[in-house]
Amino acid sequence: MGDPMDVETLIDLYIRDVVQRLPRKQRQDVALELRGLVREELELRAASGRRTLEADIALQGLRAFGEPRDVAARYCEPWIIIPPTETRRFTFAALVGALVLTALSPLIAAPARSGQLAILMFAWLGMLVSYFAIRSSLERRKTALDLWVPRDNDRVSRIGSMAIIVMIGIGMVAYGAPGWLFSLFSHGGSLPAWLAYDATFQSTRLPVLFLFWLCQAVLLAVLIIRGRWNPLLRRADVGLEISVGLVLIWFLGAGNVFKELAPNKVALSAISAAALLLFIDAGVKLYRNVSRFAPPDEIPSGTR
Amino acid sequence: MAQGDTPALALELRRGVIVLATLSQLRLPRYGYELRQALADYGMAIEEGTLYPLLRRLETQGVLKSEWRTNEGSPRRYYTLSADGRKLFRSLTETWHGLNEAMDRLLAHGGSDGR
Repeated sequence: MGDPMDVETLIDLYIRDVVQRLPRKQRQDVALELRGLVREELELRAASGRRTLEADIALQGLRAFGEPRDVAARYCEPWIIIPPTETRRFTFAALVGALVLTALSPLIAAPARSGQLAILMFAWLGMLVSYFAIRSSLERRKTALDLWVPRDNDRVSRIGSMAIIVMIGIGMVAYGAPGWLFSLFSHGGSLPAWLAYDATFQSTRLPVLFLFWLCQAVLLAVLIIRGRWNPLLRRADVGLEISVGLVLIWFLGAGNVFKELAPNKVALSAISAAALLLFIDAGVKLYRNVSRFAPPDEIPSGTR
Repeated sequence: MAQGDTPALALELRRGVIVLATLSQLRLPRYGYELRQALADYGMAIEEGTLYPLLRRLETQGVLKSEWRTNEGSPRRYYTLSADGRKLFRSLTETWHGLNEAMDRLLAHGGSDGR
């Protein structure tokens, strides 16, 4: 054991342990105030025991003051990254991500599989924590004057749906006829040879993807007309999303996308990421549909 | 309910009135230690590690205002109610009286087991 500390050192160490947990701009001011208050409290403690203030009394008094982290926490409005009401959602998203990544892991080259899988899982957890931190930070800025706004989840954004149809159209042209598109924007130029598709991919696999994209465009058109989701349309949406994901998985296992090795590698990575996002999104949609509360006529009579 | 929960619930009940108790003693400027003594004299002993941070939080929320004074030796930070703090104090006092009356009625008519 080292030399016993004197009263001033003990007070200094305690104050330091409290204020180093506070925002920088508060530290000096709180330290100055707290030092005076702590000293008075300790002197009172010593006087009530008819003693002068010595290290043992100071240590007892500082311990009675509270753990520095608890005292520091009382100085600030706590910031909770994952609030209790979001814990279930966070855990579910983390588990779904881990399961999807594990399911897709056979697509990673064997020698580096376990290492890559671990990195991807940590990346997924990091993304989730960042997402919840941003949400929680935005929530903290709300005041009591920010009133709750009702959101009708079954209402369709017609402009949003129209924008997705246009994106599907652009995607089909860009992937289906890249040479023509390149020539259009480069005033007659021709696509570099290294960007040429593998012939089998272009003739057999790509049209299947287009077929599902077309189905998604039709679904969006129906939504624009109806203006609202219903259970059947939601099931069709998730079914199509999973189908597109499965088509992408098929692409990964069925052969090359491009003739050249380098662009092929990039394409396969992009396809893997797209498939992952689609499965996660489909999982979230399924969870939301299942977890919706039952309307009154579906509640069992015994529980009314 | 487990018997062991009683102190925690009593603490929670007490925690609810700490802000009102603090505001009640800050119509005149007081510094932390002096305020703690004043509250203790009225039977409301609040731990130092709870009271001093609370003063800062209330000041950040605009309920209290403060200034440094050095007239009695070492510098001390004196707190007093701000204009918003006075409004809040009136509002919380009304709420407290309402709750107190309601609880008296509830305990008198439904608390036969309370003895």
